[in-house]
Order: sequence, then structure tokens, then C-alpha cells
Amino acid sequence: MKQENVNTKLNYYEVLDVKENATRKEIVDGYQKAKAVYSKDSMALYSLYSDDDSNNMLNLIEEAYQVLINPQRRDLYNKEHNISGHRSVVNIFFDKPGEMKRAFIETPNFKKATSEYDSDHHEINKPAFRAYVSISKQEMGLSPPEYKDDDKMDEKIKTEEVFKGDFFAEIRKYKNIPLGYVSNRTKIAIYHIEALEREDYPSLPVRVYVMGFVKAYAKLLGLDAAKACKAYMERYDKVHV
Amino acid sequence: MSITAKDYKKIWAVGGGKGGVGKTLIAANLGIMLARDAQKKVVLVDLDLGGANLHTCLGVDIPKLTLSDFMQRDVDSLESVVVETPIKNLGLISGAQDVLNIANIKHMQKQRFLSKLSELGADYVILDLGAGTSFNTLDFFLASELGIITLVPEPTSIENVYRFIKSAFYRKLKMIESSMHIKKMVDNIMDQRVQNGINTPADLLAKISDVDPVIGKRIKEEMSTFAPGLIINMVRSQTDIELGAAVSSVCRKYFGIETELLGYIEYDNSVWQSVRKKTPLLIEFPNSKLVSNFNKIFKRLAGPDVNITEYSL
Repeated sequence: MKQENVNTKLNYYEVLDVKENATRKEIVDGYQKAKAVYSKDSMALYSLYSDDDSNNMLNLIEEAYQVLINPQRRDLYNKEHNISGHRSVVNIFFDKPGEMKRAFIETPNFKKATSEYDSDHHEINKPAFRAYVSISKQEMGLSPPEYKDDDKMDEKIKTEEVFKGDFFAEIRKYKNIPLGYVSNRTKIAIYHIEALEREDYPSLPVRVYVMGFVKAYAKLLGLDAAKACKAYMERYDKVHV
Repeated sequence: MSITAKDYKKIWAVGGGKGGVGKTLIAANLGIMLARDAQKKVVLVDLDLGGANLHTCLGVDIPKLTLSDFMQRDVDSLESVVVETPIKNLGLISGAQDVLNIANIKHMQKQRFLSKLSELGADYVILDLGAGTSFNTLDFFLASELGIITLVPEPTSIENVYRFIKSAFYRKLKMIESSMHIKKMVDNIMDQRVQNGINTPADLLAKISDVDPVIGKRIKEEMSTFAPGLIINMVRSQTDIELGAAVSSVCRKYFGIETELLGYIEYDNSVWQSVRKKTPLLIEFPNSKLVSNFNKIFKRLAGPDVNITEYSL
């Protein structure tokens, strides 16, 4: 028999004590606070909530968190519950309104925007957008993108000796990997990855970092990291003193 | 020094269910701050009838004329039972005559008192309520424009605070019921509370909305005026401070009411020392950390529009 528990009428936002347009951070904070408030030994529950009530509430808090922290599930929940928003996609990622607006104007549609970005549209190559891409890729679970195998390209990867910046870019595009994904996995800022691809040495940090960047990037692309680093740095040392 | 119409709340009540949690201390010191630091004309009213000692906290002898003289129509004007205190601009209506008990004030007496309150030539009136949840205490709390609930980080206090809020909630709902003629409807819902899955006051309001969305909306609007402020007293740790937010969250979920966290007051020996000396804390220990606690609370209550002239010795 299903027992009617306390607070079945609260929506998930009310459960976590957050606003409907709460950012990701606010949701995490709300979740942690709510868990503390409704734990069995919480003094704030004294005389109002039984142990069962407290358990039910904790389950509800967990349920609410699992939905709201996931952008897709949150969007779906908002739609089902008539909660005005589609804002959520943006609001999870941006705390500052200006940032949010810029990103939103430039990226009316997340998927379209990311694919545009990958085909290197420079007008959307702005910091706010970068943040958008990088965080959203993280949101997507960091799974590597899919791509079509091409024997010619695979052969090229195997036999490559020069490892120029545009070769990195070529492989990245072949493997269908967005810059944001690279940045997230390697922890290299997007503008550094771009500089690396352009061989724009003055825009890169000191040598030792560049070495680390090239190795990490090459490894991510499935290249021979040591070989790639050696070739890249030889060229670097000739030009950049 | 002007106060905007929106923020202007003239009558404050300090309650909280349990005895010994600092209601009188808070009422007295807020009164002093309003009078001394914001230069407002303030009258403190001791409604802890049967246990009145606000006069002692302020260092005033038992006045000749007290609230009971007004209630029993010995005197006509409420103004005439206001006595002076050592603090400029701060008047006191004492409750220190035990012929009068909070439980046996008649409805008419209460109405007469409340209507005369607004006629007092004061910028602010602060009601110091006693412990317990008698109808009269609840009515004074609900009639005030700002209700302040005091609690200490102890289960006994928490229990009494919830009991107080619950009693005030249903008292308020009763008033709304009779003014909206929906007593029958609410009674029907409550008769079948188990079938209706009603465990909390918040559930009840939700159920009323299900049955009649228009009435539900109006009740919620009326209920939204019941938004007490919370002050946590005798705080000893960060956990104690956080109890305020926790209680606030529980109030929202359980009662469906919003509360405002006004601040906290640290545990400090200077409190009982000042009580022993029968001198208000702010006067006796102007450098105590409690003073800065009170300052924070006061700034939140008074809002940015009240100029506070810093007090110096």
C-alpha cells in the first residue's frame, strides 16, 4: 500500500528551496542544504516530522536533485509541469545576466550553435560562447563524438611526421571533436588550442606549457604524443626564441 | 530619515511560544535602537500579562498607571498610561499589574486597545508578547504589521515555535474562513483529511485550491500576510546560526508560509549581567558583540531608508 507522504504537492524546485531559474550551482547548494535540514537528527524537524516523514522527504530531495541537475531531464520536467523556462539550458551555465544574454543571442539553438562553432565561424568565437560550449560538453557526459572512418585519414595519421598545427585541426575535424570537448578533457583553454593549431607561438605560454599542451592534445586525438611533441617543438624552437 | 510607504511597518510584535528565549530582551533593545539610533518615537507595550517584566529590563519602577487601567476603563486614553523610560523618545506601557491576565482579556477590550494603538502618537509600537499560544497572544501577533518569532537552538524551543506558528496559522485561517464564509468547505476537507492526504497545513491549502481555485488563491493571498521574521537567540556555533535557515525551509514546506530570517544573537554572559543590573544591554554594554548582532538585525528591519546615527558614549 502506498502511503501518502508529507509534501507530495511540492514541485522539485520547492523541494530544493531554489528558484525556477536556478543555476546549476544553486541547485547543488540547495540539494546539500535540504539534505542537512531533513536528515533524521536535524533539530529543525523536531515535533513536526516523524522518521518516516524525514525519510520520505530525503527520497524526494534525491529525486528532485537527479532531475534538476540534468539539463535534459530538467527541461522535460519543466515542460511537463508547465514551468516557464527553456531558460534552464542557459541559466544552468551562466550566473551573470550579460553573459547569458550574449550566449543566448548568438546561440538560439544549442545543437545548431555547436555545429556552427565546429565549422569555425569566427563571429561566434567569443568568450561567452566558449564557456557555453565547454560547459555544455561537460554536461553531455564527456562522451567522445562519433565520426566516420576514413582509411585515407587513418593512414595519414599513422605516417605523419611533421605534426603542424593545421594537421591537428584537420584530425580534430575528421574525428568530429569540438574545441570545447578538447578543452574539457585536456584542461587547455580554447584560445590556447586555437593558437596551437595556428602555430601562433606568441599567443602561447612559456615553452614547458606548450610541450604539455601538444602532448595532451595529440594524445586526445589518438596521435603518437611523443613523436608529435618532438616534431612540433623542433619547429617551435627554430621560430620562437 | 524618511521611511517609504512600502517598508513602513508601525506595529511590531515579538513572540515565540516558549518562555525565557529572549522576547523581552529583543523587544527592549529593538525599541532602544529605534528611539536612540533612528530617533523615532517608540512605545513598548508589555503584553506578557501575568509575567510582565519589561519595565525591569528598562530600569523603570513599577508604574502607577498600567495597561490594566486602560483595559478596565479607569482611564480613557492609551496615551495616559505611557510612562517615560531613561531613553529619550522611548515610552512604555507596562503590564505589571497582575489583576489583568492575558487569558481573560475580553474581545471588546482587545479591539479597543488595538484601535487606540494606531492613535498613539508614536512612529513605532513594539508589543512584547508572553509565552504560550492563548488566543489573545495570537491575535496580538496577527494584528501586528511585523511579527517577530524568537527561538533558541533547543528542541523545546523549536517545538514551541512550531506550536505557536501552527496555532497562529489556524487562528488566521479561522478569521479568513469567517470573513469569506467558507467554514463549511474547510470543515468538509478537514473531516476527510486522511482520504484527502492532508498531513500539513500546506497540504490543506493545496487541497482547498484543488476544490476551488478562486477561493484557494484568495486564501493564499491572505495567508501570505502571515510572514513572521525569525531571530535565533543564544547562538553558540555556526550550526546554531544555520538552524534559522532550516526552520525557515521547514515552515515553507510544512506550513506553506514564508518566514524572513532577521538574524541571530550570540550567547553572551553580558545578558544576564545587564538584567541583574536592571539596565538595558545596549546601555550597559555598548561594546558587547551582542550590540553588533542587534545592529545587523535592526538594519535589516529598518531597511535602508532609516538613517541610523551611530551612538557614541
